[in-house]
Amino acid sequence: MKEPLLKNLHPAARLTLLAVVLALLTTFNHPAYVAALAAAVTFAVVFFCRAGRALRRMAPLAAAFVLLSVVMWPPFIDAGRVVARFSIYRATDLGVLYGLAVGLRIVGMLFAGLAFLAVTTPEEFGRALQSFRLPPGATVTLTLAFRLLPVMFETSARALEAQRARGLEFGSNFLSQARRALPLVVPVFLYSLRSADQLATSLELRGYRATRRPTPYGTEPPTRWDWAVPAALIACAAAALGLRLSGHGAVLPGRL
Amino acid sequence: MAEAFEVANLTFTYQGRPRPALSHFNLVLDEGRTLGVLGHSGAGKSTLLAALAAVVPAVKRGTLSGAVRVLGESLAGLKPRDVAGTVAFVFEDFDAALVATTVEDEVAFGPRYLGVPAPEIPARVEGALAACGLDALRGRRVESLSGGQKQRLAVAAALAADAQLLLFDEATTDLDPAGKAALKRIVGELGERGRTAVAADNDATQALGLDEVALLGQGELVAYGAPHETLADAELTARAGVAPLPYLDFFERRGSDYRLRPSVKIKKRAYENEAAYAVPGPPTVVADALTFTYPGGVTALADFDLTIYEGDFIALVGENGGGKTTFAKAVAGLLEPSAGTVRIRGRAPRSLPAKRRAQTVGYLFQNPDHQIFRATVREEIAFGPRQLGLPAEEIGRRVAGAMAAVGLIGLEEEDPFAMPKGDRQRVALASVLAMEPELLVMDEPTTGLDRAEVASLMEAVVALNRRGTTVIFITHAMDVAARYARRVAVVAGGRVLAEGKPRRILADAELLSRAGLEPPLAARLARELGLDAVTGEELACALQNDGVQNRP
Repeated sequence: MKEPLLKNLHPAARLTLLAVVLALLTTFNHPAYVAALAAAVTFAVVFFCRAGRALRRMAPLAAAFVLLSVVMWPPFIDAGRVVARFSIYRATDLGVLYGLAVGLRIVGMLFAGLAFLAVTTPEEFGRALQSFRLPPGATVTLTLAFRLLPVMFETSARALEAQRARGLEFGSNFLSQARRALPLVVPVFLYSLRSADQLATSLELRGYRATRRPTPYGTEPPTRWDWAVPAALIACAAAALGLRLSGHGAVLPGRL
Repeated sequence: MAEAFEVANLTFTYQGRPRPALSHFNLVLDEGRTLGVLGHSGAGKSTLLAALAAVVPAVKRGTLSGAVRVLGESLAGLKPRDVAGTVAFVFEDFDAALVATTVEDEVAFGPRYLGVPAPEIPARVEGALAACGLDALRGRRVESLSGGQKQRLAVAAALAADAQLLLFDEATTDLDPAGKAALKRIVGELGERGRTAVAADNDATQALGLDEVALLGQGELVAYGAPHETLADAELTARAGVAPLPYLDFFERRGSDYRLRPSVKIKKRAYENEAAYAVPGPPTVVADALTFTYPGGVTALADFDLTIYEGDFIALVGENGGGKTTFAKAVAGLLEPSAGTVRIRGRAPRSLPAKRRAQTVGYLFQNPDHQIFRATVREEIAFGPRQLGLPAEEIGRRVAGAMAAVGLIGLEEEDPFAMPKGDRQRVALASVLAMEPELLVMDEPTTGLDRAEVASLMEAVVALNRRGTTVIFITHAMDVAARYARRVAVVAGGRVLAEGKPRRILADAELLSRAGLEPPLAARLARELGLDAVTGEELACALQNDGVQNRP
């Protein structure tokens, strides 16, 4: 199967692209502008990253974010015409629009992060950070976090299965669930302690030192073509910034 | 030839332990030699390897006297990072020692941080992946691998470091027989390339073919020498708690010039005394075109068909990642099939309420540490029956019965976390037995156990089966399958390739090879001799029946 288009870019270029997209999403606070950007990001996720399935799974969460933002922001915005009032809750038209823009912005950022992770392995992420001269310790910590999270989940899942196999029922009540989940904590905690010790020894024996820069492997240095896409997007971001400074794309000009 | 290492009068006692793990231990090995270290659980094998990698006492604290030198340099005061590149280590807990998220990155990690020039790294990665049969998995995410595949990966990562001294601490626990054979070959080749390798194991056959073998017992060196001589001494191996190779010994001493009648047949398996087992009844577990695909897209079961009968004692054997554990979890109702069905007495396990399911299927996990969480053995075993809401008297009866069944009487108030792995495994088994399940599913229950621990555990399970419990156990130990199972199913590629009596299945080299397996050593010898046997006992019985022992 052919690799997603964005996978062909150097990890450092992908990371730059992500940073620029995130910056772009914060440029405007008019929902129409932010919606257009979020739609562009969604298009990229589906067609350039082939992560449509993951995106579909995130759709309910995205909708919840937008709704929450539309409801939560208005009480903090005084400007505009009051369109709803319930007891102490009060919403203006600009407040609702701003809430909608912020919700769409968060969704756009989530999707952009999803797009990045869909085409970038933790090791590539680490290499991208190294390209920007971040210390090797930071990049290894990052990849270890990615490695250990699934291990923790797996250990938790096994512990859960082991207790379920012995008849443990978690029930529907949150408090009862929390109390009954206690047995899971012990094996997971003990395993984590043992693993951390083992992992540190393994790292040492395999030559890792926080100050030692590893030999590059698996990724060629970025070419000028790798930088062409982020460069184009930076140009777009600059234009967007100019647009915003000239008074476009904002329902509340004084706010981010 | 220069010395690869020298251990001189080494005594090491772990912090908080009353007895030394190694006591006045002396051992010297020349460069380019391969050494097998065998011994019972707690014999000091892992401590010896840890001392050679400066893990003891720098990481695992304790009191050390004596000296350890590697390539002529004393390790006194050094840390593991000081020997990186010179020493490579495959840990017993290999999963916790993996550091990267993809197979290829894991193998490349060592060379990258050891400062190997960039042009050299691809060749090292390719070589290590090929040696361990991981070429096809190079792009896979580490967490998606099976236990055996991860263990192969840990070995590949150690090979890529191209160290002078390679230490393998029980590196075969999760490997299928093909993987074990591959590792033995790899260790042998290391010697040919001038590297020194030390492989600690419970399985004596893993030391055959190496240059030297050291037998350890209670922290002391029991014997040292060439494997074919040292392992032929049954008394020495017994002192080290290692399963001897009586048939090998017999074969060696007899030579190959005597003749056996090719028609020699034994009427009954020496161990398989039918009276010891339950009488099989009607079908109880039926898997019909069972299919399961993990969320990552890996299909573990594909049209898996198998019928298990009431009172059955069946072993599932097969390659790593073949689908054995997935099937076992589906039976225990821990997984929902993607397609097809699995039914216990006509009902899908997942349709049973949790408590009813726990009384129907007892599931013994491979790693007891995923299950144990209470402060005492008694509390741990009583946990399951308490979930069933049984009265205190009944709980007490069940706990006592389960403890007696696995030989834990007298250890009621012990802290399970402080017990050896064999005992922890028995605690886990007892806690499953206390549920009095109709069906017992065990996932590699003998992994990491020494000979005495394996025998103790399996005899307890045979006794349960005699009382009517249906037993399904997954194993890579072909000799354990040969000795204890009444029926064997060979699983590969998510399907059952064949199932039947152990003597038929385990003697079929062609069939087994399709699942990355090979017949047990006794079966291979029996075949050479024209006999029908798959265990050492059967072989001995067959030879006696034929009057071989009276021949010159």
